[in-house]
Amino acid sequence: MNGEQVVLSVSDFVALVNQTFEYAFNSIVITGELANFRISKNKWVYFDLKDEFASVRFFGTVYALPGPLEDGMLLEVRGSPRLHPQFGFSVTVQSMRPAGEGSIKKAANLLEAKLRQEGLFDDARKRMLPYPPATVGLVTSKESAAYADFVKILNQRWGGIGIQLIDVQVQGESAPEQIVRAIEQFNQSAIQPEVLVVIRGGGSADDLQAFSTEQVTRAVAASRIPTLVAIGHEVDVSLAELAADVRASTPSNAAEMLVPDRKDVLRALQLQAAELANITERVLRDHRESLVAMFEMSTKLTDDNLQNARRNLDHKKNLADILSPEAPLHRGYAIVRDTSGKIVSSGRKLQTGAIVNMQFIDTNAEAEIKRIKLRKDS
Amino acid sequence: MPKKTTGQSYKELSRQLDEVMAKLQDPETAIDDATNYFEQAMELIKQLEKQLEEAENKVREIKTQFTGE
Repeated sequence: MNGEQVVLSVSDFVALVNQTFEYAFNSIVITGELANFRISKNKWVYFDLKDEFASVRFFGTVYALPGPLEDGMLLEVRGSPRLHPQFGFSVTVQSMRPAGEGSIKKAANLLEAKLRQEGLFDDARKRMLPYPPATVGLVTSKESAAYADFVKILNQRWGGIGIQLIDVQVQGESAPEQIVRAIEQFNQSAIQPEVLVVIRGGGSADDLQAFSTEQVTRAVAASRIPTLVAIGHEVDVSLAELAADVRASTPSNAAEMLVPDRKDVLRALQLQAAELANITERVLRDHRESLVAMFEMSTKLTDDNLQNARRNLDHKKNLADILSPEAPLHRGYAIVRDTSGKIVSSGRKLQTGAIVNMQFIDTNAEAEIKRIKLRKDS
Repeated sequence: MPKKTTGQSYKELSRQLDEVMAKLQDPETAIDDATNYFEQAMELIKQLEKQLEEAENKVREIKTQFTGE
C-alpha cells in the first residue's frame, strides 16, 4: 500500500492543489462578515470573511473595492481559492460588494462621507447650465421610460435641441462601467454637447445602485461639461446626483429644468411687447404735451408782443392827434397868415387896411384889418 | 418831407416816430414846422400800422397752419 502511494514535493503539492481549485472552484461567491480589513501600500487589500464557525483569508487589490469598508460589514465576495507557495491559503478577490441592508447602507454612508470630505459635493463646484442649451449629451437606456419622457417633455417645451444619446445599461454589474465610459466619451468628443444629462427612472435601491458607485460619482464630478443628473423618484438621492452641477428629481423634471416652456416665453415676450408699446406711447404723449405747451407759449409770447406793439402805436397815434396843429382849431382858435402866407404871430406887424387870411377848422376867410389896439399887458 | 422807403424795420420806424413826436411836443416848435412833423408822424404811423397788420396776419396764418382752426 505504501509502495503505491505517490509522494509529492511541497511545490508539486501546491501546484496540484491550485490546479484542483481552478478546476473545481474557478469562481465562487462567499458571503460573510468582514474582519481584519487592511490596505497595504495603497494597493493590496487583505481581510478575512468569517461566520460563527469559520474564518477565511482573502487577498485582492484596491481596484476591486466597492468603496470604503469597515470591519463587521456583511460582504459578498467573488473570487478563486488559491494556495500560496509561502503564505498559505487565501481567496483571491475578483469582485466584492456589501450584502444585507445594513451593510449596503453602511457602505454607502462611508462612501458618501469620503467623497464629501474630498469636496465632490461642494456647492462651490456647481456650475450654471446654459439655458436653454443648444445640444444635450444624454446618458441613459434607450429602452427606458425615462428616455422617452425626457425627450417628449424637452420637445414639448422647447424643441430644436440636438440630443445625442449614448445608450447604456442603467442597472446590473456592467452599468457603472458603461455609464463612466459614456460620460468620458462625451467629454472627449471633438464637439462637446453643452450639457451632459444622466437619467434613470425609479426602481429599488438595488436598481439605482450604479448611480451611487464611486466610479460613476467621480466621473460625474470630473465632467468638464456641466452635468444634470436625475435618478429615480423624488425621494431617491444618488451620489451621482450630489456630485452633479444640477440635480433634478425625475427625468421629466430634468427636461423641465433644462429648457423654458415656449408658451411661457411667448407669453413673457407678448407682455414685454405690450409694455414696450405702453412706454413708447407714454413717451410720445409726453413729447406731444410738451410740444403743445411750447406751441401755446410761443403763441402767447407772439400775441403779447403784437398786442404791446399795437397798444404802443395806438397810444402814439392818440398823442399825435392831440398834438396835431389843427387840434386847437377845434376849440375855436384860428391861424392868421399875411398875404404872403406867413403866420402872423404878432398884431404889431399889421397895419390898418392890411389883408390877412384866417384859417378855421373848416374854412379859410379873408379879412381886412380895421383897427389895431395894443393889449394892456403887452 | 423825406419819403421813408419801405423795408425799414419796425424798430427803426418806431424810433423815427419817437423823434418826430418829441419835436411835436416841444413848445418851441413853430406851428408850420409842427404841421410838417405831424404829417411825418402820420406817415410813420401809417407805415407802422401796415407792418403791424402784416405781422398779425402772418401770425394768424401760421397758427391756422398748425392748429387747423
